[in-house]
Amino acid sequence: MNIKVDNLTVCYGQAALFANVRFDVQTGQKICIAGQSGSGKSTLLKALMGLVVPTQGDITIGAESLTEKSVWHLRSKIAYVAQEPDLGEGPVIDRIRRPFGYHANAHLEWDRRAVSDYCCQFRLDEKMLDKDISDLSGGEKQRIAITIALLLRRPILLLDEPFSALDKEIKAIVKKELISDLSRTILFVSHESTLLEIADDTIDLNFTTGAGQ
Amino acid sequence: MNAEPIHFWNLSAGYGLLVLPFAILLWTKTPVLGKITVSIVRMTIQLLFVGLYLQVVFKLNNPWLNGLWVLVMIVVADVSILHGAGLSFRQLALPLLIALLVGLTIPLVYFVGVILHGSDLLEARFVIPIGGMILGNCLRANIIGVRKYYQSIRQGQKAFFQQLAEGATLAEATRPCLRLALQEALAPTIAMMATVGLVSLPGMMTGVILGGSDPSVAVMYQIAIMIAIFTGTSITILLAIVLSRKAAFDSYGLLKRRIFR
Repeated sequence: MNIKVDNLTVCYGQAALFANVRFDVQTGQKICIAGQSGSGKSTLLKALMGLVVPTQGDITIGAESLTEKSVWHLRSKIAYVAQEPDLGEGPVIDRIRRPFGYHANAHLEWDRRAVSDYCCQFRLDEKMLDKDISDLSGGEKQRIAITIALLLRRPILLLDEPFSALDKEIKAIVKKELISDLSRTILFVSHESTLLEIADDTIDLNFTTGAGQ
Repeated sequence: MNAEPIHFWNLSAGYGLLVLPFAILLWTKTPVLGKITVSIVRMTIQLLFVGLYLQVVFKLNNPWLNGLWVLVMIVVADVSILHGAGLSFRQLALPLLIALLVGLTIPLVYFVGVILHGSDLLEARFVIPIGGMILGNCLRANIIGVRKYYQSIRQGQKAFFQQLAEGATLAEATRPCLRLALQEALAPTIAMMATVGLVSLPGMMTGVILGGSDPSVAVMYQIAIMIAIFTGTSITILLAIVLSRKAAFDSYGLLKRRIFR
């Protein structure tokens, strides 16, 4: 699924976090979003999901413009892994299963075996699924958030520093899984060389006006 | 048989009891003496005025006037809840008012109509004390519940965003916060029901006993009012949260910052 961003500006108060950002991402492309700290990389990802409302500009996902009406439908096309994901409280397995109870995901079937497969692949002990989320380490939380994102089988993946708490071996395994679906469009914010290797192109928020693909 | 009256000079002497807490606070140098003095003066003036007003209301016993008095109590509760919860009056006053109105009417009608077998609902001696007791508990519970709901969404914004990103509707994404709010708001009422009679003799029971009725009658009234309070509290919290959502979130499902004062 392709993404088109046109003239996007996000302001906090009077100050623009970024202004007039333009880019096109084609289906299946893997794009790195770069920029100095505070340049609005995470905010741009949030804007693509309607979690930050732009001051001006347009976002089109597939053939649909992101508006207050289409946002609920478009969110079901995107999976998001936040920087230091907050997964709430309760048993890990319940948290993984929760989105499968949402109305928007009614077409998805809960596949417990797929959870076990990802656990095995991402070097997560299955006993951990019965633990409380608050007992997980940062790296375990990241892998659980990536597992949820993959289980939802969305055509677009937005990743915000998804490898920051993973060790080298796991990074390589997760990277392999992320790029296994060639039609999956991925936009990511990362400083990790493992992930930067997969980037087809880079959007630099330090030089955004008129920039892009 | 009526309650034993307290004469003016006897009540004045009652203030003498305050010497003890004042002495404790002075001795421990706890800096709340000013606040306490203001609160005691306010309590005295407010209750004297209410006493005078209720004398008139009870004497006239006009259904419209009684209904108006209940409405005033609801409006005051509405303002107090939003003030106590630190939320914007302009944004949330109307949905909360509706929640209080419905949450008070259902247990009140049930209490008077079914438990007191069809007595006149708007008769002053029923509607004002029973309504006041239900509303007073709704007020306390709603301050906790509504505040907890919106604060937990604000403080847990990352978890909330994560759920929206996973495809949750607003109701689905806020369900954990709703559960938390209900749990915390109802906890004092649940604890009160579990310990009533063992730790304290509650207000209604005390009132009925002081009014000269048999303790067995007082117990019946107390059980009925506890059920009415729990019902009213549960309804008002749920409705206050559900009805205020439209005003508190924008069409993207994001919490409006201006709902917080």
